[in-house]
Amino acid sequence: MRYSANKTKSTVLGWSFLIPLVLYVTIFLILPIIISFFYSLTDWNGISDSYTFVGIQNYIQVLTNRILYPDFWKSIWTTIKYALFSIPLSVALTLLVASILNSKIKGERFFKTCFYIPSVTAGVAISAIWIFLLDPTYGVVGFFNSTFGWELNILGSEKTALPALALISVWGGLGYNVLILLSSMKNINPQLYEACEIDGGGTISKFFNVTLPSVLPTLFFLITTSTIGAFQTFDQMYLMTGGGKGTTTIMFEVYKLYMNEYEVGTACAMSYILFLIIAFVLAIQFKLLPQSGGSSVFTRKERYAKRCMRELQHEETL
Amino acid sequence: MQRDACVNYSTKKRFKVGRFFAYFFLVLLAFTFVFPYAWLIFSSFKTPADLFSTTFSILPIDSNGHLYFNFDNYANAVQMLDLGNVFFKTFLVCIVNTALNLFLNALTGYAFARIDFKGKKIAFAIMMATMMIPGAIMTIPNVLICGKLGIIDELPVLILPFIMSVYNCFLMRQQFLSLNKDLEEAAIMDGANHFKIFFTIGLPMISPMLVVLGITTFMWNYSNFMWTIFAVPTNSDAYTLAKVLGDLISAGSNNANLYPQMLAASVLTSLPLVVIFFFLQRFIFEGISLGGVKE
Repeated sequence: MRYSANKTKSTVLGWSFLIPLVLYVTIFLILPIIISFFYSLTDWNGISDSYTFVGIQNYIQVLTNRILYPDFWKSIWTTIKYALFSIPLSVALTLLVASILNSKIKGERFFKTCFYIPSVTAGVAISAIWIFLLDPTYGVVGFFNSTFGWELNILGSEKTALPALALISVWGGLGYNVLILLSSMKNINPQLYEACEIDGGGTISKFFNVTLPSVLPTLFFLITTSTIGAFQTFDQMYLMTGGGKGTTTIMFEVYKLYMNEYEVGTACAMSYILFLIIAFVLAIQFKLLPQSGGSSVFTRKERYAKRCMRELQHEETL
Repeated sequence: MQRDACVNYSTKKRFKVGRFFAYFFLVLLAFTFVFPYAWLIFSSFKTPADLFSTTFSILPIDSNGHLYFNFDNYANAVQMLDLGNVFFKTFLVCIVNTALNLFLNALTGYAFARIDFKGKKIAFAIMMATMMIPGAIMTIPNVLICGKLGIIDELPVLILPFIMSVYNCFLMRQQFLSLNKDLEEAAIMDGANHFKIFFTIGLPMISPMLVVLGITTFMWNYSNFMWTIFAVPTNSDAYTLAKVLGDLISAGSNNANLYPQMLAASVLTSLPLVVIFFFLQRFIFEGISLGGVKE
């Protein structure tokens, strides 16, 4: 009897600690999702008091009406291109830099600090720096143009604007990614390297047989977070190109619909479509990419590392 | 014998060549990070005439070849953007957000880690599920709910949606779970209740985590830009640094005349975070290995 009274008391106590969380999650996560889904089924313009219920018309129109929404499919393609430019490059560069920094290099702290500075610079200031550097008349690019007679206008050309923005985002995110991967590399058991060395493995063999399989979970984390980030990218486009020169991403399209066209219902519908796209891409990544040393292409290497480990321990006991 | 020595020599040489390329690569890469910042800072001190001159010079140098520092761009930027006022509001928002965020998340994290109660598992599962929702997608839905709350275009719209963060809450819980609870159990024996324990033992115990998350939460709020475009479209009384600088920059991307102010304002905006970073670098790097930094 006393026990159950205690239990009720602790339940009341526990939930009283959770009041802020419950309020927060309800008001800023659950209710918005419900409300925006409701509006995605209407033709509300965000201002007037009246709206009509249109069912899934917004979704159908966005996906199929090329006259009303000429840029929608293009914005998806732009976003995919942006992701394809930035993510592989970012992952490769992160791996390279982290492995070099992990090889007992002098000045590790200096390099880490250098690469991390963009992460503590407000994104708007980063955009300002690059707008100025890439300015065809006054910036560094301007210097090349006037000295060598080039006619580069990197942010003003359809061909180069999107890759440039992707490169800048790789540049800005490198420090954070490197630090995460590096801290995972530092946790690798040094015995694994010794084992590999005894088998005659050099730097490259150590990288593929020990380092890479060990950091796969972290690498997978970095790939998925970069993917989520890349598909939601917006700030750079707003600040540096205004969505022009083939840089209108999905989020920018949502922004235009909401702010310029007053199509709240369609903007909500498009947010949901973006959510489904991200979920789809992540599902593919979960399916195809190795998330740990235990699955897929790296199994062999992992087994090899484990065998080395066993042999080493065996030798030690002898 | 001689052959062995030869092999040894060549592997050693190869090793050295590899090292050389590693350093070469790192230095080159570091240059692409240092140069833009150095150029931003030096250019912000140039007179507009030198800034727009086609003669290339990194340092602000006048026609006699003397180095100079011209603060007019800074004065213009401060005046044009009303930076004093905007800085004050930005810091106010960031400090309030960070303080509330730390306190409320620690409270929740404590409950999840230390109190056994009915429905805890479900509450935790729901919280973890909401963590999967990408942030930007919630922008329009959150703007709509803030519209219903009547806070669009007002200062609270920059605070209320950010007073908690599910991710930080999760990290706080993990931190509490990783710590020994002997002290707390002793306090319970002495008849203390959980609220008292939370304040006197729990919060001090996780202070390293509070520092790490405090820094990152502050920085995140300081840099938050996209939300301000949607949530504070017109009321300049609620503009933050990110918003005013963002407006200047998106105007500057089409109008080179704004460059001097744009550069000076960028330096001023970056300064607080960079200073925090250099003083508290240890905590930030530590926080990253704890998984405490979100992008």
